[in-house]
This record gives sequence, structure tokens and C-alpha cells, in this order.
Amino acid sequence: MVRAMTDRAGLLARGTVALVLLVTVASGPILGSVSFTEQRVTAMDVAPGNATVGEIDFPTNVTLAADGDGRYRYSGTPIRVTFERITGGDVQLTYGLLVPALNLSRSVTQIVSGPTTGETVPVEYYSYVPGERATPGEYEATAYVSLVEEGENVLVARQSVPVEVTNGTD
Amino acid sequence: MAPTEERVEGTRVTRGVARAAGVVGKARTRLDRLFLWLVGDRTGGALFLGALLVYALGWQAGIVIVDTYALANGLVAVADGHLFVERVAFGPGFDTPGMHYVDGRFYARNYGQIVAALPLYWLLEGLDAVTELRVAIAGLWSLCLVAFASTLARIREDRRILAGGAVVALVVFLTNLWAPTPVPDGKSPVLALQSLSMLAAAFSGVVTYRLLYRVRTRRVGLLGGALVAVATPVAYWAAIPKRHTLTVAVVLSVAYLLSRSRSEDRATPYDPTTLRAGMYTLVGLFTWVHAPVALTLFLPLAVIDVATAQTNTPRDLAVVGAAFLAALVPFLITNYLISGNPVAAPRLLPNAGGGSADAAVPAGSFTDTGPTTGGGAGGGASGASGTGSGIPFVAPLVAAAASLTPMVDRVFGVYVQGVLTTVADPGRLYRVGLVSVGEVSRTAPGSAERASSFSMLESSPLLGAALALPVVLALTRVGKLVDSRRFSVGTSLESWQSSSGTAREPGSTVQRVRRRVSGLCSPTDAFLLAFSVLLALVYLPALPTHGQMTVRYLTPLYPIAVYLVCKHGRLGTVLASRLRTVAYAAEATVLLGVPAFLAGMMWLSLTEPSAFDALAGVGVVVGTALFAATVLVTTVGRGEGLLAGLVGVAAGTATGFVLLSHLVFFHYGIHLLPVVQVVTETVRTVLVRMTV
Repeated sequence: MVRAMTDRAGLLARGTVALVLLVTVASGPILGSVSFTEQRVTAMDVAPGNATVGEIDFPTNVTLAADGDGRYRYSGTPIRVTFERITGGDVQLTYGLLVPALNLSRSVTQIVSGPTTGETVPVEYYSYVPGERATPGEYEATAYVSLVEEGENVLVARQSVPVEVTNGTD
Repeated sequence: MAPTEERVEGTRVTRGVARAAGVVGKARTRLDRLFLWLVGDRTGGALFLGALLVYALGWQAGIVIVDTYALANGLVAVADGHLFVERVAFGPGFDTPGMHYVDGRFYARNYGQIVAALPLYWLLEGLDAVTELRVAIAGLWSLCLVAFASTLARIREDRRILAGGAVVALVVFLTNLWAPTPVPDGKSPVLALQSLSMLAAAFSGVVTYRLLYRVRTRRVGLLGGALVAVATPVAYWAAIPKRHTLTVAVVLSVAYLLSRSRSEDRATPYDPTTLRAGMYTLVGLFTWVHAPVALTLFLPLAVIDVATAQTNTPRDLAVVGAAFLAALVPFLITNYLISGNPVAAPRLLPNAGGGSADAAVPAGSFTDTGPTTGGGAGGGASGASGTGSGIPFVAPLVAAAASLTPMVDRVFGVYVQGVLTTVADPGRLYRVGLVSVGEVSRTAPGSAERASSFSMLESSPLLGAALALPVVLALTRVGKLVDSRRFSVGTSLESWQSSSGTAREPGSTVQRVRRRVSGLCSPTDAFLLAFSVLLALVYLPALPTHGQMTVRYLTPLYPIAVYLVCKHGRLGTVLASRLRTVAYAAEATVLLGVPAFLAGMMWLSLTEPSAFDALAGVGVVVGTALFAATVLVTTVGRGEGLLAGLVGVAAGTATGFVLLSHLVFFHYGIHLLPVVQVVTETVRTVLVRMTV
């Protein structure tokens, strides 16, 4: 009985290994015609939709006023993203700002409801952002917009943005 | 073909097959031997495979922290045959944190980590060429499960485990084949870095097991290894391709080699000098990954190693020194090729996009910031780097320390500054180690930012037992002293000696002191403690930060704490005798606690930041209870079952935190295991619909 069990266990394990290897090899181009993957439409997170992005209004200037405690008060012109079309459901929009001189990288994410057409969405960025101390002056920053579609973060656009750092008392 | 020719041909085929089978068999035997050499024995193997199975559940094809873009782009560059980053395969551009700009070219950093990931990159590229990568990864997971079950079956001498494991592996694999989406093109560099991180994390658990097995028992080793692997932030960082798990693996490996070279408690077949050379080689190679941490590793190691080595003959020191210098060569050459200065690591060079990192030996590592997607885990640079001095003379001393000559400042000033900053603001020890919420709320307004910062105790409530350790040891010592005074006659010194179980010791005073010290603390313990203190001093001035996420810079301290708890005092022995209780309590906490927590989130419509706050609160409560229980139970000697159960709950809480983070809260790419993808999609969709 025990021997039979032993044999069955070994056989089962070997069979599993063989099947896994066979299917794995079959999934590749060697055997050609077998496809185990497909581009399915999923209920991926909250972003099952697909979007066509139109015009993006990046901030033309950004001011970061040092507020002590390693943070800055953020102010800048409005950020707007226009969606020409959203199909299939909601999409997840991310807007981020990178300021290397301050070691600052902050992004904000929001859900944009779909389906819709011709909708302009304002991005609500943080009032305060953390960052390292820097001498007041003008620095280069990079702003970007990305979309999560089926779990993948796709960069839609990026733009250089001038950032003015002040000491907070100006 | 004539019958004779057919027979000859058949014989040739049979011989060919037999020869091929022989080659495969030999290769398999050699692989088995190599694997066993690394993991020690079957128990270590099971620990390693089990940890990998868990880590893979949270494996997502994406980047969660922006400085990983530099690493991934660096890996692409090295795979292309050069150090400079020529094309941006990941991220919004060249000017991401962690990228450096020298003479018109962009460079990544941590080249040792990149080079270590290179073979895995090639392996994944090869798999991608001959298989569908998503299917191959699902297949590897199932094969890993079969291997895990096979190892367990041999350990327990119960083949039913193998049968059960094979069935589960098969079912999971077939379920994974249910319409998986392909891995997006070009993700192999990120997957390779993640794979390296997971292997290092799993190996960390194994080394803890081997270390504790040497100095205690197999069961204590198993307990410690399992706790490190799945109940500390080592598990949290396993699938996130940063340097943290690699750091942990190197620190523990050095400690293990140090232990073996001292023959602590157990003889070793290896020559001590070879083992010493091995540990310096690891430290030397680690400079290629992160030079400041390597220096922090080297300083206590050199002191303790030389002071406690059995011999320090010129030959010994020459061998050890040569190994160390040889291991530094890749680091020096890389630096030379980048900047022309062999000792200037990339992180000391100007950051891409402006700003200099020159003044920041440790602070350079604080450029790793929050995720680019999702507001739940923002990041930022140091939020509380000021000294916050409330003591008049401290601020000038800090300024003086900072103004030391650059080289001395880089080598020692950082530790001095750490001491002074901590003395000036001891409250940061509380905020970093115990409760973070108040501090982070103050420095980082906005609920989304608050969510990403956990103190050490909040991240791993097991630290409650570690915090209790000094109290337990002190109480035990006092108890022995009282007992000895009660039953013996003589001076207090003689009583103390008798309480230590030692008669008048022979030898000189120095030898007696050395023996007494070694009785309290082995060289390995001393090394780990000294390294922990120095590492904390390096990073404390800039902690807590908004994106510290389990205080990631101090990740090595968690396994060190687990090691010390398991080795010293009675707790390790108590728990090892009640492994089942610990395991059942941990499983129950995960299997019941995680769904209960999610249900609570939905019921109370908790947002993600509020949920993180609740998790942090649970960590503090469980950790505090564990502290109290450890002190009480190990001194009174009753309620050991309760203590074992509480340790299981603490471990389960930490594991639950890891699972919730990777399966529910952090979403930065497709899960590599399609089954996990479906489950997490469903959970997240339900949560969002109910809380929005």
C-alpha cells in the first residue's frame, strides 16, 4: 500500500514536471501553432478602459516655496488633460513632477470615468510636496502624464517645466 | 536498410540516448550538490524554495520606485556592452533619480547589482525567445512547488506530501493557462532585477537558518530562517528591485562566514583563513553595489575579525588582504571608466538634471523616491533631516562634524553626525523605530503621503521580542545574582563569578576578560550589533522620511534582530519547542486576518491611507503585546504556549502586511502569475467600487 502510494506520488510528480515542461515549450515559437495567451479584455483594477488623449496643459511655471520641515508649498498654473475618447470603462490617470535638484518626485493618480468623449480633466496636484533643501532659484523639472491601461503604466507625454524655488518668505 | 544495419543503427541510438541521459544525470547531480552547498541541507532547500513561492505571489512586471528606472536602464546599457545609458527603455527620461551625468553621458549606479542581474536577464531573454514568458514563469512556479513538495516529502519521509504538492502544482499551472495576457515587451531587465532581489531575499532566510543551526539547533534555525524570509520587511522588498535584500544577504553571509571561521560552537572543515578571505571578498564586491554600506560593513568586521581571530600571521593577513583588494577591482575599474577616479562611486557624482550629490555619502541613497503610479505610496527625500537640536552645544558640534575634511567626513564624519543628531533629537529613535504616524503627518500633509511610511515596529511587530531581549537578559542576570547570593558565601565578586558558572579562571587578566566577554557575546554577535549601530547612525539623521516604507534603509536590522532573539535568552528555545503553535498562529492570522481586514475596509469605507494607518496601529499593538509577553513569560517561566501563539500572530501580521501591500494596495504592473492577477483584480475592483 505504502509502496503503491510512493510509486503514485513519484509518477504524479514526474508527470506534472513533464506536462509543465511540454506546455511551456509548446507555448513558444518552436512548436509554432499553440498559443496560450490572448489579449483579453479584463476588469483590470479600476482602469479597464482605453483612452485617446488629446491636448495636455502642463503647468507653464511652478513655484515651490520652502515651508520648513523639508517640504514646499506648491503653486502653478492649472494642469489639464483632454481625453478625445475613452472607451470600455474608466482609466487611471497619473500626473507626476520630477525635480532632480530637490530629489523631488511626486505623482498623483485619479480615476477618469469612461466611456466619454471630448472631456477635459483638471489634475489636482498636492498643496505641499516634500523635497530636499535647495538654494532659491530656477530649476529644471520634468512633468509627465501617464495612463494605466490593463495594468501597464504607459507614458503619454512629458515636458520640461521651469520651477522656481523660493525660501517661502518672498 | 538491412536488418544488421538496422540493429547497428538501433544500438547507436540506444547508446546515444544512454549517453545523453548520463550527461543529464551528471549535470543534475552537480546542480543538486551546488544547491545543497548553498542552502546547507534539505531544510535549507525547503526554506529557500518556500520563500520563492511566496515572493512570486507579489511579483508584478513594473517599477514602483522611480530610482529603479536608472537601474533598469543601466542593465539595458550593460547588456548592450557599455556602462553609459544610451537609450531610455524605462521611465520618462534620463533625468530620473539615481541617474548621474558625467562628461556628457548618463550613468546609472549600483553596477554590482546590475552585473549580478545580467545572467538572469540573459536567462529571461532566452526563455522569452523559446517560450511564451508568462507561461514559462507560471511553469517555473509550479516546478518550484513540486521541488518544494519533494524536499518536504524527503524531510518528513512522507511521499503523500509529494503527491499533494504535484497535484496542487498541476492545478495551479492549468489554471494559470486560463487566458493569460503576455508579459509586455521589453520587461526582461526589470524582471531580472526583481528575480535577483527575490533570490537574495530567499537566501537571507537560508543563511539565518544556517547561522542559527550552527550556534543553536536545527529547529531554532528553521524558526529564525522562516521568520526572516516571510515575516520581516525582507519579504516586503523581495519583489521590488532595490538593493535592500542583496544587502541583507551579504550582511548575513559575512556573519555566517565569520561564525564558521571562529568555529563558534561547532567545528568546521574549512580553513579559517579561507573563510576570512571569503567574507572580505563579499564586502569588497559589495562596494560595487553600495560603497557607503560596504564601508559600514568593513569597519566593524575588520576590528572584530582581527581581534578575535585564532591567528593573525603575516600569511593570514596577506591572504585576507589580497582577497579584499581583488574583490575591489570591479568597483575601482567601473569608477575609473565612468569618472576617471577609481574611488569616486557613481552616487558621488553629479545627479542627472543638475544638483550635486557630492556632500552626501549616505544621503545619495535617499534619492529613491515614491512610485510613479498610484497615490498611495508617495516618496520624497528626507523630510526631517535637520538636527532639531534642543541642546545648545550640539548644533555647533554638528556643524563642526560636517565641516571636517571631505575624505575624513566621508569616512567617519557621517557616523559622528549620526551620534550628534541622535543625541540632539532622541525622539527620532521613537519615530523611526516605534510609531511613525504622528511625525509623518506633521512633515507630510496629505493622506496619501502618510500611508507610505511605517516605523520598524509597525512594519514587523516581531521587533517587540527583540526590544524585550535586553530586559530579559538583564532580569535573568539579576535573578542569577540574587540566587547566588542566597546560596553562597563570599564576596560579591565571587558570587558574580559563581552565578556565571565559572570558577576562578586560569590565565592572565586579559585572557579572563576576553573569555568573559566572549561568554556574553560571540564575535558574530558583536559584529552584527556594531554593524547595526553604525548603519543606524548613517541613516538616522535623515529619518524618518515620507517614503521610508518599512524604514527600508535599515532593512538589515530586522533579520539581525530575529537572529539575536532566537539565539539569546530563552525565547528561541521556547519557540523552537512549540514550532507548531507558532506556525498555526501565523497561518491563522494570515488566512483569517487578511480577509477580515479587507472586509473591515469595505464595511468602514476606509480609504487606502486610512487602511495603512490601521495596519500600522495593529503592528504597534501586537508588537507591544509581544514585548510584554516576552518579558513576563521568559522571566516567570509560564505561559509559553501563549507566547508562541503571540509570536505567530506577530509573524502573521507582518506577512499579512506584505501580502496586502503587494496584492491589494500597490499595483504597478501585471502580476506574473495569472491566477494572482485575476484574484487581485477582483479584490481591487470590489474595494474601489465600495469605497469610492
